[in-house]
Amino acid sequence: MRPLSADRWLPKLVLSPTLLASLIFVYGFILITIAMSFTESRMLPNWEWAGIDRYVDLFDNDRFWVSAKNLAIFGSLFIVISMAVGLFLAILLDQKIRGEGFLRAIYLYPMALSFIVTGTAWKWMLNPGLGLERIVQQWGFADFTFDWLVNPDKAIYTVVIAGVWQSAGFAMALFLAGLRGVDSEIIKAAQVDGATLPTIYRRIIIPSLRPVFFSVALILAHIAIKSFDLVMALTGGGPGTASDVPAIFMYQFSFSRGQLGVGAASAVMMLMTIMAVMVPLMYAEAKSGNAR
Amino acid sequence: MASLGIHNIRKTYGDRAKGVEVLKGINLDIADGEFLILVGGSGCGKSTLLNMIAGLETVTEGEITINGKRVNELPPKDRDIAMVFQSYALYPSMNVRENIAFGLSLRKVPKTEQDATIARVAKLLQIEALLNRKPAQLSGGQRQRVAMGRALAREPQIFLFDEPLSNLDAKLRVEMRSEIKLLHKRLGITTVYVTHDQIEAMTLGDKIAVMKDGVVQQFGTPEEIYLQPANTFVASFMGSPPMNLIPATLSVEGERVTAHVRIGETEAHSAALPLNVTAETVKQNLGRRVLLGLRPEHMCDSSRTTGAVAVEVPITMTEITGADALVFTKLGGVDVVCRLHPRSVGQAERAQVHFDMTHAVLFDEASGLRIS
Amino acid sequence: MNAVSRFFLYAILLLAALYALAPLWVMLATSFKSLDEIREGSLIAAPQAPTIAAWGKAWSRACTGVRCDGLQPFFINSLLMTIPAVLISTIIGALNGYALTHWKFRGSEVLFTMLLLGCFIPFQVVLLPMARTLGAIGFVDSVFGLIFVHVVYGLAFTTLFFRNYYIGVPGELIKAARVDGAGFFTIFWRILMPISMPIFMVCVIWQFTQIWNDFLFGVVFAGSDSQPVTVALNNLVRTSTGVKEYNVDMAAAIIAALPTLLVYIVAGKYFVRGLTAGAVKG
Repeated sequence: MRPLSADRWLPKLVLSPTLLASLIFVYGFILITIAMSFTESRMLPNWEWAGIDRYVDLFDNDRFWVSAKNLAIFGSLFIVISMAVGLFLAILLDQKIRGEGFLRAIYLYPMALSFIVTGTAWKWMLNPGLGLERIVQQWGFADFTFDWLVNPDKAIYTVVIAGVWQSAGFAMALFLAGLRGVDSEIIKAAQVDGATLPTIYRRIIIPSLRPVFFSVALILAHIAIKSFDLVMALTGGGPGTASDVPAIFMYQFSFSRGQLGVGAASAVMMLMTIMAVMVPLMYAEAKSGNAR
Repeated sequence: MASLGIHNIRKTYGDRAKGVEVLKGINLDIADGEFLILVGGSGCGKSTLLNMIAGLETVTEGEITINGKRVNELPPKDRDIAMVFQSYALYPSMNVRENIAFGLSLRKVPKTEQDATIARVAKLLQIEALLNRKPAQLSGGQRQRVAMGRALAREPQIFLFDEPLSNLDAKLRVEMRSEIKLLHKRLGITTVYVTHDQIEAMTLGDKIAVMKDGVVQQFGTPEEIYLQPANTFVASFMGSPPMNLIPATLSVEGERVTAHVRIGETEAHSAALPLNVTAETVKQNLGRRVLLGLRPEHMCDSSRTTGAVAVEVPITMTEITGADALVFTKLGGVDVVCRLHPRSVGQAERAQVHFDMTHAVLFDEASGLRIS
Repeated sequence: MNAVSRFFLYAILLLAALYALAPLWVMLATSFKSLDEIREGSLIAAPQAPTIAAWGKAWSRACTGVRCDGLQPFFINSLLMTIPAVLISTIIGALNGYALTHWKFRGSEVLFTMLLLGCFIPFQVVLLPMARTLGAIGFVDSVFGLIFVHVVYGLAFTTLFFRNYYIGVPGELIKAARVDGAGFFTIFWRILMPISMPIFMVCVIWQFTQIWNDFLFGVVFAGSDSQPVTVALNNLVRTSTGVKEYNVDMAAAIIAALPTLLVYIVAGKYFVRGLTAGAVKG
């Protein structure tokens, strides 16, 4: 018999609450939500089996499709623009800029704010009566109109504007860290070979940032799919339901409209969406990581 | 002070049946005060064995004893050992004094006694001036001294060293090597020392265990290991340049055994080298190829040896190291190094090499084992 | 690079900085204006007759739904919720990271991967069971419920932070301490804690920002008296009693943003490190 010294079981004991929490509150709850999406639950959980009825309800609901379409618009624009602006700023900042630290701090501060604050601020600025529209009119363009916030066809784009404002600095910070990690000898070698600066960026540096592109895209996609607070504060999903996103749909059906089953089904769809985005990205990243 | 016994030690990572076996039945015994070297290439299991002696890794099978008492189940702190690591592992947040005192304070040694020990150890290792510095402010050699001081302060029964010199530059390594040797001489504490450097192994050890693939290839004194290697692995691992292993065939006339070695690459004739072994010893190997083991210094000038067999060989390349000229030639179809005096080489294309056959050893070509 | 392109470089960077700062300026300027000035003047103009009336109202009198006590009580709720949640999740995360890197056992890697996947789930997928659970254990309508939720769903991140930091601490350091006679907690306390200050800063700041800025958990799990400040701000902006008071809205928004902004200004270095560390996870 070997006497168990404390150091054998202490690490396991220390980890056990976290393990338990993860098993119950993450994996267990996901299973419960999935189970609930197959039941007759309405105001209260009702464990009567309903097959795929809740998913049929979900897919028959125009509002769900509006929210899915909005997520597609918002997600793709938000990711692409944030990355483009972030990469552009990072490259500019990489040119031995005086006051780089200060500029970086300014670009990044929106990340410290709550999406609710961001939404509140942009809601005021994009306000058609007193906001941007009026400034431009005051500057002499009397016919200028900018009513996206209250225009059902355009409201989701205001979410893109505010989202990019908040997250572009974040993309910049990650890209800049990536740029600084590029081996300076490779750049010197390229210079000796006679490459111009734009060529060096296009052919050597940016391709070597592949893993950074992956992680930036991953995180921005994650923010986009979970986006709830920004839309709540900026448009509230309105006008009407014009700027609904799945997170709002889920919240409304689960907690305001007493449709727990449909809410659960929409949550499961969100999980599937995240997995559909994450798994291939992470797989591709892991594969290229192994190849390196 | 203590003796150390290692009996049938096995270590398997992962599942006992399917896992990776890194130590495959190790047996070593050293007496009180002896200096044991574990030497081998990377992945041979030497560090794993040391960690098991320390109690930092569990023993899958077998028994480790200190002073005849089984310690398999004891945690490191109850084994009365001290250890010096390759990276020195000084606690970065503590200064030198606190580093040395840490183990003492955990053992509830009274403060005054701690201070006395620190003073003694600091004097011994000449680190008195460094006591209030943080590890980050020390040079590599100083860190090494502090790490040794920390181990010494505990006055352990057994000292464990895990490649303690491999992070030092060449000059410092030689200095510290002799210092460790002196310290061991002075204190006489039983020591186990892991290294991949065969010179450290030869100069420091009372006993050397040469390891490969989790098996001890040979366990013996430095002299035994050097002159009587148990197999071709030990022969080529120990010594720099390593022992020449020359393909040869044997013939017997009465009691005289002779090795025949082809000279050069194209030449038809071969050299006949008399061996001082009995016909009985080699009777299994007659007619089969064997490997003739000769160290470069036993293939030398007439000025350095007497009573050897002289053979003229073609020179393929010469490296002058200063004291020696390493002359490369082909014997039995393989590259062979001879250690000659620089003066005797010059621009010549051939050289007269004297084979000191009293130091020759024979190996079975297939198994690599020494024929004795 | 010649002077002309250098000029354009700085021009673009400064324009971008102005764009980043504009909303903050508009918020500040608006919050010090009177409603009349807002109606008459320009969005971006500085206040002509600065007044702190809007700030006073936002802090203690504005209506957030049925209550009209301003943001003050909710600001306090947020503090009561954030501070314990940050501390608890950080400490557990530190111990987890330590155990996962230097006391590996069979299954510890699997455990870590399992925790890591928890970083990626959309919280919507746990909201419904959690709401019922909190109700069942009586944590609903109190800050304890929110503390609990933030700790549980923050652990994956805090563990990750510390695990990635401690993996860089050489194993020989731990071995040396064990040979010296130190056990699990002694090593953590005496050897690792003194060199962990940077990662503690990163983790605390990250968690503080995340939890303070959270809206989803707040709006779902908090009762009307335990709402965090983000929820209250949203209610304040949505509650219209006659005239829309943009100056009060903006003052309230700044109040809600102030703690995280201050942290950013004081310890931005660690904030950025946390963001990038969180980004290169996995």
